[in-house]
Amino acid sequence: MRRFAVLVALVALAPFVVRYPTLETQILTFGLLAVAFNVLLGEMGFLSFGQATFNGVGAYAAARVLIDLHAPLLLALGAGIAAGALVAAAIGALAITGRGVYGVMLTFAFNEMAYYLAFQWRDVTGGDNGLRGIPRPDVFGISLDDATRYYFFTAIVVLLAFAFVLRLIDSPFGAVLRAIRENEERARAIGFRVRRFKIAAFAISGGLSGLAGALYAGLFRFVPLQSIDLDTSTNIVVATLLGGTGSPYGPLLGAAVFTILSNALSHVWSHWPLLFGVVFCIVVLFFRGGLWSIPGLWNRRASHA
Amino acid sequence: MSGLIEIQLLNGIVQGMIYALVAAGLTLIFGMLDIPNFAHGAFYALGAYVAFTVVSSSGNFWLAIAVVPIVIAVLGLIVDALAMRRLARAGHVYQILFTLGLVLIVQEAIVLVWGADPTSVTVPAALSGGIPLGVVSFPVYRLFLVAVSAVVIAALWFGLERTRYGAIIRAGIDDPEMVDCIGIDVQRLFTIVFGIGVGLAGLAGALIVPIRGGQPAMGNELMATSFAVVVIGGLGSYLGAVVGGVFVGLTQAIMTILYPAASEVAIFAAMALVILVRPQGLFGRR
Amino acid sequence: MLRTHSLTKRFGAHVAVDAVDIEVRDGTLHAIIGPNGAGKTTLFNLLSGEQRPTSGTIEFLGQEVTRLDVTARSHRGMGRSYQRTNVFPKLTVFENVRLAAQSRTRLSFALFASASANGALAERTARALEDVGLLAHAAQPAHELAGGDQRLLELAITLATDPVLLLLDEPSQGLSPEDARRLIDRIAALAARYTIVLIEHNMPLVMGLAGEITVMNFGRVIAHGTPAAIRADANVRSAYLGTRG
Repeated sequence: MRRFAVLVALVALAPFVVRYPTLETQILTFGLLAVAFNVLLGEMGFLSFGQATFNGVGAYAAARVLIDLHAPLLLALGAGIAAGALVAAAIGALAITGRGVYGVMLTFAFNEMAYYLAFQWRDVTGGDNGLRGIPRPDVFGISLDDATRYYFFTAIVVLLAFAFVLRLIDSPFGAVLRAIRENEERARAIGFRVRRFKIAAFAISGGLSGLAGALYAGLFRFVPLQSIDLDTSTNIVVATLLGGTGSPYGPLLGAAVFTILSNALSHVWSHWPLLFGVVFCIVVLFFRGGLWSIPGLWNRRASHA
Repeated sequence: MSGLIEIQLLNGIVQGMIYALVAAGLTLIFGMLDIPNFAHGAFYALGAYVAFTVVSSSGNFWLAIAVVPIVIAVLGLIVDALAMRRLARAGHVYQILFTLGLVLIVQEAIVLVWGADPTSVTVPAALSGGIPLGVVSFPVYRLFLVAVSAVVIAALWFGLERTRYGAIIRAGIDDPEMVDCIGIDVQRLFTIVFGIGVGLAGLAGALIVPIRGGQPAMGNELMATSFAVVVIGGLGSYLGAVVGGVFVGLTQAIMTILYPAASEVAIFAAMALVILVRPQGLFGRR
Repeated sequence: MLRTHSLTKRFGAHVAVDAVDIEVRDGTLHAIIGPNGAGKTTLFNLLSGEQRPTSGTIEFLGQEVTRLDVTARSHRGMGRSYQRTNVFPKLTVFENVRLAAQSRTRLSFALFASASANGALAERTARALEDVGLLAHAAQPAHELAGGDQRLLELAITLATDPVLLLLDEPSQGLSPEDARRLIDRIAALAARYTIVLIEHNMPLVMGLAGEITVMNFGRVIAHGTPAAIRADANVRSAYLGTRG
């Protein structure tokens, strides 16, 4: 609870300290993607390589609802959640039939298919030009036309989603996901219908990713084709691992570091991904708990000394 | 139209041989050593760029074909010895993540060393002509590519199936402890297999560069497709990787004629279908 | 309680379990013994639903369960333990058992409930831990437990699913004599409350514990009866006791 309070305070103060509301909004939406991904990886132990699929589908769904139906923004977010959850449940149901690496490959294959579908289906997605002209309607009569206001709107939605994930992890449902991660066979033997839980976890992860996509569509009033490509999926994986999979705060931290570095360092040294790749490899080799676990490592060492 | 469809099909075979080379290496690493090497495409891209450097500094394409696989294989040995062994016990997820990190590094290192613009290599004079085919002609170099790939694939198959070393490698994969017991260093053996696997990817990169040139991200696209090839052919099946590679190359060529919009989707749909319906692949055992 | 009829499992040409008829009566501790490769573990996997029989039927509490999977049989009241330790290693001892207790509730899809704050679950969990004497270790991660304690945890997980029948697969396998003794005492205490099917290698242990014994060899039942009758049986002597001294 104290951590969550600190997080809320940080999010509330950020735009007053550093005035880059658009970048800060991006951190939040990307952070939500990473948190959603980690429900599958960190809690259930499934590496989903196709998270951008759910992000993209959510973004397109929200954008279409806003453009074609002139729907209210909250409804568009709902459309993003629903689209992401549905697609994720369908893909998840297929992906979990593949054992081990095959499951990873399936999410990967479906991501590639989704990308090419989005690329071809220009009427709906705008193809590689992206989807433009998305309105950003008022919410409860409050105009969100200003970047800082949209930041706060996003902050409220993302913090609510994050609180939901915290709750989920402590719930009996979350406990079953960890049981599946630790020992799927035993989970089955004590009476859990493992398949149902896995599909539900996919739906939740996909719904949250779809929500992130919808918020992103509202942020730039534009959905680029990149929002559904494999590079985005890779970035989600990389950022999450960097932050750490052991706690939902880890992916959030990783997403923030990743977004800030990719924006800041790309101005300083255009080859920053090289450095980033090296750091990432070192994390994978030596610090599997990610950045979030480092204070803990330090404490443990101190207490041993 | 005469000749055009034939050209497309021949191009499909050329592309298919590249897939076959890459997938043959991948099936050694992923199928036999059980390392899901997401950096396989990065080694392919490196192969293309190293070939570019060798050709532009020596002017000798033949030298490039000989040197590139060795350079890339040595890099593979280093990666395996330094990292992949450590990660073996951490499991697939971390192997995937580490090789993903390698992709980031290689891709950016290419931009740093060779620049972001595409590079190109001219076809050596001896192979520069074309063979007439109806109203058009088919480049001799492409036939050369098919021939070289076929020879390398056949030689490696012979090495794996018909020689003592091949027998030891296969035994080491089936039962590492047993081979350890008879006094062979299995870890070293696996490192060598890893080196050979990425060396094949490097060779494929060197062979493709006179046709397509090099781009820093060239490995990514190939990576996705070659995973599809390996899965379709059957993980760990050498024959499956080769036949799967040619099959995918031809399918893409045919789809490009019939319905270009779906040519990419078709491959990944086929891969998903294979995993769901026949997970051992078309040529896999079990 | 549990009855098989002509239960058979083939692997290619090899018949692992050959037309086995067994009846486990309510309230008994029924041991299945036999030399290595006699088909005990395969029979066990058929009973618990891990494997499907080639032919024959299994009846549990008067209903046929032959086609049901492990999960469904668990909900009918079969609880099995495993030969090798089979727990959730990184979760705490308490969480391990709480999960099992939770599987008997309708809570598992409650996304907004708190598992840790649920009193009824905590109580059921504590009771199962008490039964095996692990309550003091509740907060420890399972993988940090000693080997013998992991077996007890395994047993507690099974108990927390509220089974009516316990299927125990070589519970003393790989344990030190003291640990085996400790485990056997627990099982003996549980025998008063549960019907138990036990596979065991440790002959003296079985003789002291079981009410009924079925002896298997080459996939077949070669003898069945009380420990005293089994000890006197000539078939058993030659097939099993004879070879193992």
